[in-house]
Amino acid sequence: MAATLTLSRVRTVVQLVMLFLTVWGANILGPYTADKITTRLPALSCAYDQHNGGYCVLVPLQHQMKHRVGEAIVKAQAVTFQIVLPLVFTMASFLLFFLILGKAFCGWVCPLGTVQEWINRLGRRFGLPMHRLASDKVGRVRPLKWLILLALVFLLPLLAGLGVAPHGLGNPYCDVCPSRIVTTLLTANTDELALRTHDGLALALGALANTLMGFVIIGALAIRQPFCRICPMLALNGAFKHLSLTRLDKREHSKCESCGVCAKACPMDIPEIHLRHGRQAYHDDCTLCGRCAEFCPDDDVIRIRFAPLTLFRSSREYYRRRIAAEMPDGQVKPVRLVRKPAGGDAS
Amino acid sequence: MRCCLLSLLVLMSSAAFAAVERGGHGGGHGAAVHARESATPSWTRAPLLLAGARMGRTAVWIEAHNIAAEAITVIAPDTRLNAEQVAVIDGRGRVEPLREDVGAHHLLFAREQADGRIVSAASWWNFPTPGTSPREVLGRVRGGLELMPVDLPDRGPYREGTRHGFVLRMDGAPLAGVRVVLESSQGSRVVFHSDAAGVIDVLLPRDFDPAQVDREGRQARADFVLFARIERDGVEHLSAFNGPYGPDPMRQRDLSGGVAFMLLGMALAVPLLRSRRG
Repeated sequence: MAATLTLSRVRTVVQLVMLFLTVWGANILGPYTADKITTRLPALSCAYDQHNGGYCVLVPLQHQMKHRVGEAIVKAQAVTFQIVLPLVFTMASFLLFFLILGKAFCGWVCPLGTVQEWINRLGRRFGLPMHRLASDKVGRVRPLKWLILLALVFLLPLLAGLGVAPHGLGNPYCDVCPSRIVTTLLTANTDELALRTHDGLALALGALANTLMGFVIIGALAIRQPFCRICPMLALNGAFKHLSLTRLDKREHSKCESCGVCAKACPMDIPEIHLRHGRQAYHDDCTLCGRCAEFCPDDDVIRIRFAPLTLFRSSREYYRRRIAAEMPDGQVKPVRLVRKPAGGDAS
Repeated sequence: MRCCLLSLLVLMSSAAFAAVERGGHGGGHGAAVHARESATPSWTRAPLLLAGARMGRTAVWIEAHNIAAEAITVIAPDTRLNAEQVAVIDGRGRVEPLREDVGAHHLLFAREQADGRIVSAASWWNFPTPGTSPREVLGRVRGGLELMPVDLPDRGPYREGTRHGFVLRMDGAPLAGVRVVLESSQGSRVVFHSDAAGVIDVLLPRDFDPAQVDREGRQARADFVLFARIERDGVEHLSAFNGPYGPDPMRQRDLSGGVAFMLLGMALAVPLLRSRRG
């Protein structure tokens, strides 16, 4: 039994449960927003999906930037806590969730992350080519998520609230988010796949979103977690990663320099997990999926911790079991249909 | 980049304390129904509770039409709060959340009792402040003839072309085979009949004028009322439930265009599947 229980399998079960909760959860919890677990989840659990069990924090952030902060400034009324408090409340609720699970929301809860991961597994099963981002390219892609967070989640909704930008830019991130389309399609709802044709801006944003979604779905067959790399939630989670009790920890080890298996295992192609140690190894892009710890061949080098507790630690024994079924880069080994005879080879 | 983010947050907090004299559209976000100015409805003779002028995020004028009610009963979704009555003066009453911090769906009732006739109207108002689910208050029996929805729209109004369940009860007992009429401000009139469990499966008519939808987009609104009339022991009972509905969002959407752009995105990613690199 112990031979089959791996961190990846535990994560797969958690992802399945979370996918159900974040896409179809309302079927159990109830149809109203009031029934949701939260409306400030640090994962792309889309509010356009009426069947989900909790909403993504990026929705209230955009709305509050537009409807509260922006419009309150415009009205030039007496500034009261009514203006700032909702924003603070949203961030505080987000941080409360984040305090416990931290960036594991990306690797264990986010429905879009789960869908991309499973599409990539499909690609591995069919032997499709696999592309990894080299260190220099990773460096070029990384700023995009911050730009998207600043521009689409904070700045444009604020400008729309101020009346400077068009009203249609009130929630621009949601308008281009592939999770909006993917999660609603999972509930057999095609409304969000259809383009809004009533104005040019909505049409352009919709066309961009659909193109991006199509690219992500096919791209995920060959690239691990393609959208996660530019996801503003990854940036938001990255900004507060050291506030969380759940974290990644790596200690310095003499073999690390010549090894690098952890970086190959990382679905986000983070070279720092190989090259650095201590706090610097836990990068903004980490989704706490734990693959680096699973595929680290040495004892106690990489750990996933919750406060002082170690939830998972790398070990040579675990590595041997893990590598028997899957390569660090995700390539699966052929399914063995004939069981080996007991006692090993006869020769 | 993180410094930029924190700087922006600080800047925005500071900006909130700055005074900028500009006009802009206000109104709280999140209320389910869209308030409109009062107008005497000519499209129905059934009793109505219509949303009128709205005062910020925390109060709305509810207008009673075709019913001589003295008060509107407001029931919060949180069942720990007692229902409150709002006086109807000049045909309207000012409705607020029963507690400042409990919003969401508040049920509204009005009742008129005259010789040999009991008339009741029901509707709802969704305050943007978070609150609890209305399922429990919707299922409660209040006595007399009741026509209530099984569920309310979570956000926004009902939508044309969608199906919704309503329940018809008399003193808590379901009424089967009763004629229930739907009338809409767009001029539709549809007759339904309750089933053995007193349930009416209502299909909201697709009756929006395309020109109105073109003009007002997603914000276009119409009203419907569902009412039933029965007679018991020489007393006529008339019960109605009304609410707003909006156009089918697909009226202004193009599914084939959406699929085309999705396929374009997929096509752009296909080269990734061809060669092996890195």
